[in-house]
This record gives sequence, C-alpha cells and structure tokens, in this order.
Amino acid sequence: MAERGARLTLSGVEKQYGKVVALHPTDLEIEPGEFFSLIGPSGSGKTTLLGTVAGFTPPTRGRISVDGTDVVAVPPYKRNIGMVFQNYALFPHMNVFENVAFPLRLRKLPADVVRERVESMLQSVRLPHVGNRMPSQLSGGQQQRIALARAAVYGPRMLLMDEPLGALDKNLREEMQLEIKAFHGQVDATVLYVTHDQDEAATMSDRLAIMNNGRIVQHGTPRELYEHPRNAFVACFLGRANLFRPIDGVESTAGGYRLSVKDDVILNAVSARTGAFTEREAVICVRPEAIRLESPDFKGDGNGTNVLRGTVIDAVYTAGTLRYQVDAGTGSPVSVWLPSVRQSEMLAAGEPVTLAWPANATLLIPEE
Amino acid sequence: MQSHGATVTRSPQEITPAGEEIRAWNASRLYRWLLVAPIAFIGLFFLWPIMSVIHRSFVDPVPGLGNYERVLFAGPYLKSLWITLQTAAIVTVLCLVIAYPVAYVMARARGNLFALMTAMVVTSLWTSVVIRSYAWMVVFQRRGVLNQALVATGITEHPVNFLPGTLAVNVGMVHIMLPFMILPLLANMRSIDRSLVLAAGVMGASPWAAFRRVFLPLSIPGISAGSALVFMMSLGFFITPSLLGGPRHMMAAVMIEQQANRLLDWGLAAALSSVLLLLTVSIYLLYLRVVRHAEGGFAHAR
Repeated sequence: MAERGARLTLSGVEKQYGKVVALHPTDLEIEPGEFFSLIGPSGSGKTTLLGTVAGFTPPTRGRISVDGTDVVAVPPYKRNIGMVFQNYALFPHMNVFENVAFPLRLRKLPADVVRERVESMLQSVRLPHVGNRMPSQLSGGQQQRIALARAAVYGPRMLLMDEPLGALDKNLREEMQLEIKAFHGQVDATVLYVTHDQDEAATMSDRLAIMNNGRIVQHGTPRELYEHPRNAFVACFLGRANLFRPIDGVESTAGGYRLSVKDDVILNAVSARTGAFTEREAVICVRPEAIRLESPDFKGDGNGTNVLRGTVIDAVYTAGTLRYQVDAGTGSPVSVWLPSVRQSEMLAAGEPVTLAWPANATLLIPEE
Repeated sequence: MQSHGATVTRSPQEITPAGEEIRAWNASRLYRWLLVAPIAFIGLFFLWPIMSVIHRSFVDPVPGLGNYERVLFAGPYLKSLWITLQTAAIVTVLCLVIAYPVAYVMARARGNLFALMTAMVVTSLWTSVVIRSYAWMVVFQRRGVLNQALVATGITEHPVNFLPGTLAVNVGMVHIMLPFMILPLLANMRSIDRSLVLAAGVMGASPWAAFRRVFLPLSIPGISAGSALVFMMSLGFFITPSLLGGPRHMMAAVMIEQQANRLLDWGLAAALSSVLLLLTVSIYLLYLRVVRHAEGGFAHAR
C-alpha cells in the first residue's frame, strides 16, 4: 500500500472565541486512508475541530499538519481538501455536471479531461445519467451522492464530511452509510467524518473520537470504546448503559474490585484503571445485553457472577429483542435486552426476576 | 385558478342526518368577494383615467395621430424622452454600483447591527422627496457648500453653475432611488446560502472566484428586481428633475406637466404620457422575461 490518503496530525489545536473556549488544546493523529469519525452532542466542539482542518476556523493556537506540512496559515482554497456539507451545498444555478466539474474548471483542466473525470465520478456514485438535471430536481439521497462526487472529483487526499446524512430519513441514511463506506474504498483519501449519531459512527469508522465540552474524551475503534469506555459519559453516549453508583467504599480484590450498590448486594467489577477508587468518583457500567435471566433460586456460580433481584416494570418487543425495564432498588431502572429466540414467553410487568451477569462485564469507571 | 375553485366547491358535499345538503366552507369564495372593493377602486381611479388619457392622445384637439407625429418628429419632445431614458439608465447603473456593496455588507450583518443598518436605509424613505431635493439645491447652488469648497480648495476659480443641470439631477435621483435598489438586493442576498461560498472555497476557488462564479450569479434576481424598480420609477420621476433639472435637463414627466398645466396642450401631454407608459410596460415585460429565465434554472432550490 503506497499512499491511501493524507496523514493528518493535530497538535495542541485550540480555539477560543473571546473568553469562550470552543476547543481545548487537542492532539490527534489520523492515519493515511483511515475513516475517522468525530461524535459528540451539539456544542461539543466537533464542528469547530472540522472547521480548523478545513480552514474556515483559524485555530487560536496549535499546529495542523497534512502529511507533515503545517497548513494553519494556508487559506482553505489552497489546502486541496474535499468537503461534504450537511445541506450538500450544491450550486443551485448550475446543473449536476457543472457542479461536479466546478473544482476541475477552477484548476483549468482541459475540457476533455473534465468531461472524462466528471463522467467517471458520476458513474462511481451510481448516477451516470443526471448530468443535465438541476440539483433541485434530485432527491435528497441523490443530492448527497452528487455532493460526494464533487468533493472527490479532484482527488483530494483528505475528505471532510460534516453530518452529511443529517437531513435524510432513517432508511436512506443506512443505505447511504454503506454507500459512503464503499465510496471511501474506491478513492484514495483519508476521511474525517462528523456526526452526532453513534450508530452511524460505529458502522462506518475505523476509529472514532468522542467529544464533549470542547475536548476529545476518548478515541479508539468502535469496539474499544463500547467495551472499555473511559468514563460514564462515553459509556452512556455509545449505546445503552446501566450505571450503578456504589453506596460504600470500593474494595480492591485480587482480580478486580468489590463494592456494594444496595444493602446486601455486593458486585464484583473489573476496571481498566488500576489503583484505588473512591465511591464518589466511580460508577459501574453494565451493558443491557450482558445481563441474563436466572431462576429465582439462583445464588451465583462461584465465578464472581453478579446477581440482582427485582421486578419487571416494563416489557417491550422490538425486532427480535425483548427489552425489559427492571426495578432492582438501585436507583434508576435496569435495562435488560434479551434475544427473543432464547425466551419463549415474555414476562409481564410486576413479575419477579433474577438478573445475572459476569464480573468481567461489570466495568468500574470514573464518573468524569 | 377558476377551474380549481370550481372543483373545490363541487366536491365536498355532505348530507347531514336531517337530510339537507351542506356545502363545505370554502376559502376561495370568500377571497373572491374580498377582491371586489380593491378592483373597483383601481378600476375607477387608476385604469379609467389611464384609458381616458390614451383616448385623449388620439382625439384632442382633432382625431388622428397628430399628437404622436409631433412627439416623434417636431420640437424637443423626442429629445426629452431620450434624456429621460438616458437619465434612468445612468441612475440605475449608479444605484447598482453603490447599492451592491452596501447590500452585500448588510446581508452579512446580524442582530442589532443589521437593525441599525436597515433603519438607516429606511429612514431616508421617511423624509419627503421634495425636502430631499431642496436639500440638494442647497448643496449645488451658486453659493452652496459644494461651490464654496471648490473655490476654497482652488479647484475652480469661480463658482460653477450646477443648477439647473444634469449632474444635479443624476446625483439627486441616485440619492432618492438608492433604497429601492438596496432593499431588493438585500432580500435576495439574505436568501443566498453562504455555505455555497464556503464550499466553493474548499474546492479551490479564491474569494474572488467564489464571488464571481457563485455569489454573483445567485444575486442576479436581486439585481434585476432592483434595477427594474429603479429604472421604471426613474422614467416617470417628476419632483427632483423639476427642481434640479430645468430646461437644460428636461425629463418626460416635467415636459408633460408643462404641456398640461402651463401650455394647456392636453392632447400632446396625453400622447407623451402614453409613450412613457408604453416604455415602462415594455421594460417591465423585459424584466419578467429575465426573471423567468433565471427561475427556470434554480427557482426550485430551497
């Protein structure tokens, strides 16, 4: 593999508007050809970060380098970066062909080269016959593909995408996710993708970074982030998490930690962090699909399996999964997701249940 | 329109339990009644007088095309129409050149700054045109501010006779017409999605290229609306040319007023008015063509 796109390196990139900090000093390294997503709630700084790379938002401090060259002082039009906007930003006064040809015409390429490249690009977004139409005559999904074609037609080695699927409905969105992923496979570009949709980020990305309050909280592969969240924010942002707060101190044991979440209920937990936790700063995260149902007399199996008894308060069936809400007296209700093929009958609200899950699915993580 | 209204009245019929037929409430029928008063008003006080002016141009003092012959072939009338067209064109171009950057900056402003700028543009509309034209007389007169400045700085040895004159008319009219250019441009520019310009930049367009290839073409509807408005208003403009222009810069409206009020040549005044009306309507039709052409391209976008 020679070159699959640009290497993007951010070091100490920071953005302040007056006294308001939109982006705290941030370091990030994105590998050539990687599909990297930034996710986070609105106002978390992901669009600011993207803007500093595109060149719209000059950083207050820090270095942004593309393949080792510092680009902070380079205006957007000289950065040779491609970008797809949330509202597509297709030019309404030009037809589709001219839209895609626009960056090539700016580069003063000969007419036959322009024609050839635009046509092959329209081919690769599977819209070869729409060149003569105006953008307003296309559907949202089609406009998005044209925007993609236009961003990539001049072969930029870095593609930025700012919530490109935000305006599409759910089914189209899922289709376009796969399409963009496939498109990424065809072009030699590193992709930096911004979204607030965690499923989207997890589906598409090689790696992703979760942002909150102007900081990258954690970055890694989707699986790393889901299975080893660094703190409660990450755990809750990616997928569903049951959080338990210890009521007493956290006791350190040979294989992990022991702590109490309710009178007479001691849970075994593991943590990526070593050393002592105080009960104030620690929470326990258990994913709803890690929990199983056991018979009422189940007392544990000696392998540190955690057991919790409670009452079903709500039961919902969605697409092959039974979703229970169980009141176990630990504060907020516990979510339990079970594949419906493993359970013939659905429990009704009010029925007593015994929940069990292994110690290694019980993550002790810091609150912040 | 008509047929649409008809289908609406016919289809939603229902039978009540009591067996009587009820007609669904229908908005378009009410709207048609609301139109009666304004149509009557316009017909009586606008269309009918115009018709009678056009009629008079052919019959007063004797039936025939005599008045039009005089307008076209005798006296200063054709020249006055030409001056009118010329002045309207110059004023339109100057207004566009001045208003475009102003509207561009205003369209980017937000909040209080935008409110302040709009107020400054609109306030000038609140002052009477007569007063504003007199203000320009003060500026341009022989012992006025401008002449004093010119003499004091030594640019001219003696005061210049600006009044009455072409320069004074053009300056005065540009001042009065400016808001009518700024406001349509502003409305258009505020609807242009600035992310299009950003997008052009990322794709490699320098700020100037992005303006020329993206922003400028998208502002054509505003340019044509503002220009049509200013041009048509300038064609029939009376107060400013009559105060600042005089015989050296006789525009059509002033000429018509002279014929009608002082020389009592109502037939010729009517013929001049009709020619001016024809000119204005032609310009308007041309404008509609331009707009429809532009809309054919991107009216559906957003």
